[in-house]
Amino acid sequence: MQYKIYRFVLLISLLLWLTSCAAQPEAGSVSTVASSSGATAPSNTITAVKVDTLTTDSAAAYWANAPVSTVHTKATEKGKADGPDVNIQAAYDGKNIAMRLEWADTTESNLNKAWTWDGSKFSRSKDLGDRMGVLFPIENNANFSSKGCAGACHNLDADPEKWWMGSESADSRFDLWQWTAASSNPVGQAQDEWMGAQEDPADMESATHSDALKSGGSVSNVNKAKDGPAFMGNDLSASFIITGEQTPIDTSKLTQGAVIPPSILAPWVGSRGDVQAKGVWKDGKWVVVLLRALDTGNDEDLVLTPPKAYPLGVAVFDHIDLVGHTTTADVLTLEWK
Amino acid sequence: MSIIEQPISPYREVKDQTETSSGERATMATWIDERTGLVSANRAFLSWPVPKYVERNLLYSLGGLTLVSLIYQFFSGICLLFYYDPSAEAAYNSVDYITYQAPLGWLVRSIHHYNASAIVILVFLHLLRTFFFSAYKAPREVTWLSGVVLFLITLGFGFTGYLLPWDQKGYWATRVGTEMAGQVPLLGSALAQLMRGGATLGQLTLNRFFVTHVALLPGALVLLLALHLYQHRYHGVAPTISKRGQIRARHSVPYFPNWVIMDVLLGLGLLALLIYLSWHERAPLAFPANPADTDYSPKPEWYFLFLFHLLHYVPGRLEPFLIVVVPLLVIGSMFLLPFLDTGEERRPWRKPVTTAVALFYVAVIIIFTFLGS
Amino acid sequence: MDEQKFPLNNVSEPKPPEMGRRRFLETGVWATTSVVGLTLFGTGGRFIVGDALKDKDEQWINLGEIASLSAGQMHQTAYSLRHKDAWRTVEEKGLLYVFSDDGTTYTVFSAVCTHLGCNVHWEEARDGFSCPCHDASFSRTGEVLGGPPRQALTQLEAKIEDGVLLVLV
Ligand code: HEM
Ligand code: HEM
Ligand code: FES
Repeated sequence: MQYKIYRFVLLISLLLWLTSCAAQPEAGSVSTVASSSGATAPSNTITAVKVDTLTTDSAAAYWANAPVSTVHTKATEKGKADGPDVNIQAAYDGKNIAMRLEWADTTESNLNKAWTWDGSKFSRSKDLGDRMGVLFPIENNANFSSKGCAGACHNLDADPEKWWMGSESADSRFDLWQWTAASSNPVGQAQDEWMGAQEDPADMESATHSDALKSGGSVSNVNKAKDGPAFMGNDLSASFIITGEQTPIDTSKLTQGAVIPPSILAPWVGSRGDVQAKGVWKDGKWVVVLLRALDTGNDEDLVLTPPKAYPLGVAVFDHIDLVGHTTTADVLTLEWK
Repeated sequence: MSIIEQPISPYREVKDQTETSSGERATMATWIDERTGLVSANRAFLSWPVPKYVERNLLYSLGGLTLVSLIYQFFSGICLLFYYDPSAEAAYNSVDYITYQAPLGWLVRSIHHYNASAIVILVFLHLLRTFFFSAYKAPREVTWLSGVVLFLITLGFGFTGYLLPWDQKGYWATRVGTEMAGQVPLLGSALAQLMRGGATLGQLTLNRFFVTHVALLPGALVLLLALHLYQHRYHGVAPTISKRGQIRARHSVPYFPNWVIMDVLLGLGLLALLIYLSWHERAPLAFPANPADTDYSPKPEWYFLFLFHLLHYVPGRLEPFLIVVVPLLVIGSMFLLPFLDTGEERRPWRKPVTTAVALFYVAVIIIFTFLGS
Repeated sequence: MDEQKFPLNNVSEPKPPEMGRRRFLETGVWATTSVVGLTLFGTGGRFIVGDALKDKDEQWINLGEIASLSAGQMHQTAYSLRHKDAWRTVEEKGLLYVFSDDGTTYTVFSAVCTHLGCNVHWEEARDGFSCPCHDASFSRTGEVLGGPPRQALTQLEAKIEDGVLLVLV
């Protein structure tokens, strides 16, 4: 029996061709979701590239190969000016994901409510440092995945005092990586937090929780009388004090206008310290790299399982509080290559 | 007077032959056959003589391959049922779990996903084959008619399956799909509400689609397939249309293994292809359904795309017409075909009208599918 | 003896059927089956149709104080309401557009496209709505300007009570 192999090959290749034609619109459909939720901007999709090993180095060679998506940020409050565009890239290895975020900011603000010595007494500033946050739903969340950050923001129609962020129910949480120039960047981390449902309707922050802490973290630099700092840094010119590098305050060493950081920092140990970070302000822009395990093993964290696509949102705070932050207006999608 | 039971198996003669072939196996087979009649029935089934022109002819393997493909679909579908949760809150999470967490879940779901497309393609090719070979002509009308219903059932599987993950894609395609049914004059809104189980798309819709997908349609499919294949057996293979075939028609070969070998090899190839596609890119899962989304542009499965895309070209007023008349025309003419084309002529090039109409349908479907994508 | 063992053997020779009796029995079988069949299909059919053909129950929802819905501007409002979806009570979500010229009368549109049910979105620049599904466009007052829809956007009944806008959805 001489089976005509060629016919067999022919039909199989026809099938292959047909089925893969059929498969084609499917293949693109994940990105269709992303772009259709945003206006038309395909850049709402962040494609993580696969690399051998990740670091927090923002100049690592692999960033040259990672597609850049430029996303726009908008003020939450109506009528307020838009925020900067953020260039986002992502990369992953077998264990970790890194995100590189770059945005323009004319001023480097790396102090949070610092003390200032006026020659006779301390006063405490109300200024906040620059901050940036990345928000992911931990559980699948229909609202967030079509609206992005707006899907986590509540009471928007009311006055800003009543806004709160979080989820509608305790079964649907968010994972927040909050990088702050003043307090998390000096210890090489972003604070790992989570949001659930609002617990106290009067408290607009009551849906947000820090992840569990074993040890470490910052302590407030305040004296017993609460009218000045208790310590100063060994290096008086630094904008932060790391635990172990402080001495009791000695006003005789301070010049008028000297600024004393408001806390003594130490890295978070435990789930709160899951996100490594390195941010540098240079030439009018921040470049921050965040790095986290795909699966931290902690319950308060999103588990990332490539190739599943994840919705996310990004917010930047130009030395401003929550209400004044600017966020990506449409949902962003993290995909994997 | 002693009573001797008379043989009741119609295949007794065939079975008797095995008794001459010596050995343990034959004895065993005889024992089973005497109790069940299955061995001889099976043997007769397999040794069914078929004309030699079906041998090594891929066109005659399309039906068999569709059958194999359906078996894969039942297999993977039943596997999925072990994990799938048909509730509006949990369906998405369960499909997410299947796709990204359950061991080999990605493979099972992706096979089901790609194979759904393969079935539609294969059924369509098989339909074209039997059409162009005029295999619908008397006395094979019922084979053809049952085939048409099988074709509709296959599309029904595709339509109902698409919703099951309860993701944006399925949700919006179904919303549009049921609204389309709602455009049918007079009956429309009742029809749409019956499909959805109420005024809006919700849990009841998911239940309806789920039950249709995993119970009603599989049941209907099995019954019709039994009829289809029985008819095929009963009438034998339709006459060939080529000269070469006529020469080969003088000889016959046994169904097994001469015809089956092709189906089996192709089935293996298909499985390999499905595994490759699944490995290359697993079945997509869009974000979870959000009824309040303003920007989602739904797209149906590609095999419904041409109908969906036709809507772009029709002014709104004519739309109900399009939605009712086009499918009625196409499906209606498929049903009527064996009763309209009753001539002796089997060669498509000798009956240009029938052939031209069919080619026109096929061209419209192909062109609008491509335009739509 | 053998014949006692196999009493069925007696019937092996069919007697000529008594036609009347046979007819009667046949009719009986068909009649019984029909009754059973009708009962099953009737019950099953009614059960399966269920409440599917009922209209949606309407409900007034609160869209907030009109003070916060500034006149001269199109407001997109997502609402969610508790809604019975068979045995579940779900948060039903939907989308509305609210507009007022003067701050006293309000026009409220359902965002659901009258064509095939996608949600339309507001385009400030064009001063109208558009539907992403088949490129329909509607004017600010909901009339169809282009595309396949045949009906204007659905306007919902609205009323103001104590400075709060209520709509019937
Ligand atoms: C002609 C046969 C069939 C076709 C064309 C078909 C088609 C489909 C399609 C297109 C989907 C959506 C898959 C996706 O998300 O990509 C689906 C899902 C599903 N099908 Fe089928 N199917 C068929 C037979 C069956 C059978 C026989 C069963 C089980 C008895 C079954 C069980 C399921 C289940 C549980 C799902 C939901 C899981 C999922 O979406 O992945 N299917 N089917
Ligand atoms: C679920 C889908 C179907 C399956 C599994 C199936 C299976 C088969 C098989 C195994 C055969 C014999 C082998 C062959 O001729 O390829 C056959 C024959 C046939 N089928 Fe189908 N079929 C299906 C759908 C259809 C459809 C959609 C049509 C047409 C509307 C159709 C019309 C016919 C006809 C007319 C024959 C007889 C062919 C001849 O005698 O040469 N079938 N089918
Ligand atoms: S659904 Fe809006 S144009 Fe078709």
